[in-house]
Amino acid sequence: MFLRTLIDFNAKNLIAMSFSKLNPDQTFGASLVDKDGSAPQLSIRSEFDPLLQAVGQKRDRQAFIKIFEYFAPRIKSFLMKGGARPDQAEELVQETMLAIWDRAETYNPAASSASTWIFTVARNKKIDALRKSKYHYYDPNDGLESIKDEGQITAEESVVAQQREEEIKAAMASLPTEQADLIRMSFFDGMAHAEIAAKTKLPLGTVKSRIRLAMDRIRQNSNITQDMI
Amino acid sequence: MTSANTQVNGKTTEAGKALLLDYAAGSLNEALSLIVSTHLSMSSSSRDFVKQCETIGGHLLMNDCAPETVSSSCLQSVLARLEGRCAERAQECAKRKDAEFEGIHIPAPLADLVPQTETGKGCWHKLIKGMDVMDVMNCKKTHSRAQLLRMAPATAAPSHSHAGLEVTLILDGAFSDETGEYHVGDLIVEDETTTHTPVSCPKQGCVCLAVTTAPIRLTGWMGRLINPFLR
Repeated sequence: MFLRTLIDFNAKNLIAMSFSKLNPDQTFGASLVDKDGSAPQLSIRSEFDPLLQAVGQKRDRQAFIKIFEYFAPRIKSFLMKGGARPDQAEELVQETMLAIWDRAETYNPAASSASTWIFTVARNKKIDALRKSKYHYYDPNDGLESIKDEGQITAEESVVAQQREEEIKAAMASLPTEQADLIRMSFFDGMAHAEIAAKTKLPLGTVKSRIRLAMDRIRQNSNITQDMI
Repeated sequence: MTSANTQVNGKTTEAGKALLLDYAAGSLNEALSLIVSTHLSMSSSSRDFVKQCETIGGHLLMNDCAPETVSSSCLQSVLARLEGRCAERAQECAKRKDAEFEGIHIPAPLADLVPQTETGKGCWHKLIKGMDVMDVMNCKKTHSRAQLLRMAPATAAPSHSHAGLEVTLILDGAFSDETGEYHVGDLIVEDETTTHTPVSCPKQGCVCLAVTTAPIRLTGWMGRLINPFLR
């Protein structure tokens, strides 16, 4: 138990540091610190979770606008780094935001954070549009069985999902720079392993093993904490 | 119609996981995205892994992504397009169905792409004795190609190596090669460094989806004669 507390404490500090370093302009970092200034409460949960729920359940336009204002510029950035021209990216941002509006009803905060859910919608739009073809992604709403899965998340699964979010956030913050950089390149420069190897002039085997190390580390992190409970 | 989701739990290797990460990031070409998404319909452990990767993506998107200015008209035109949208209908349209094809369960991502004749038969072409092939997708730009392969029981595929990736997903039956035995839902990744000779299950045979990112190279003497026809 002590070990878990220690790990959590370090992870929180690292994340708080990474927030202050990476997001000097972002106000949501403030939610990491309690109002009375006591120990920071780590949560990947953000104010966007209830906002996205409000869009899904109440068709809340004000909530939608808040989500747009924060995420649209970031989704545009994600798409441009993946190779879209600015005008294409903006068109895709629109498509992504419309899909968020259409599908927000299926968002389940017990299964994932809003940021993960929104990333997945944007990623699927990217797969569809940049490949000029439709539907080459897996959708948990496909087929009848999986809809049941999505709708009936047990309390235990919900805890596991929340843990996963927090642990991954912690693990990302603690990765060595070389590994974190490669993970970032995978996600934000839209490069498959082979392309990363070409760009960094690292042998493909090195790229693969570093990414594997990073992923193992992230997985290990979740094993450690799960065993401690 | 039964869904394979609950009965099958396909496995993959470390090389497969690299592919899953690339998929989660949206970095794969369409043929590879197709085979990975089909595999995800058949593998809860791979879904979990991709979910982890997507959580990383969500975290990076929210906290580690320099925003690009969005034009002022963008929000207005999105809001204008919200008028009259019916969420339930949009959701209904997006829902895809698994299919049954010649007695084989075809997960939703692949279901629309299998070419069929009016009588519901597949458009198979004979490759060698005991082995038929059907084109599902052929993308010249990325040199990638998705095909269904059907092997009669105990058929040995010609020994071959690969110029790029060869990714195989078993849809029905099983096969084994030098590295082991593979079953329904398993995703197998071969690359430049590997040569293998798959042999289908002696009882059930094997139907699989295979994606190549460059023409495969047959390595046997007979294979070298067939090579020109595979390009």
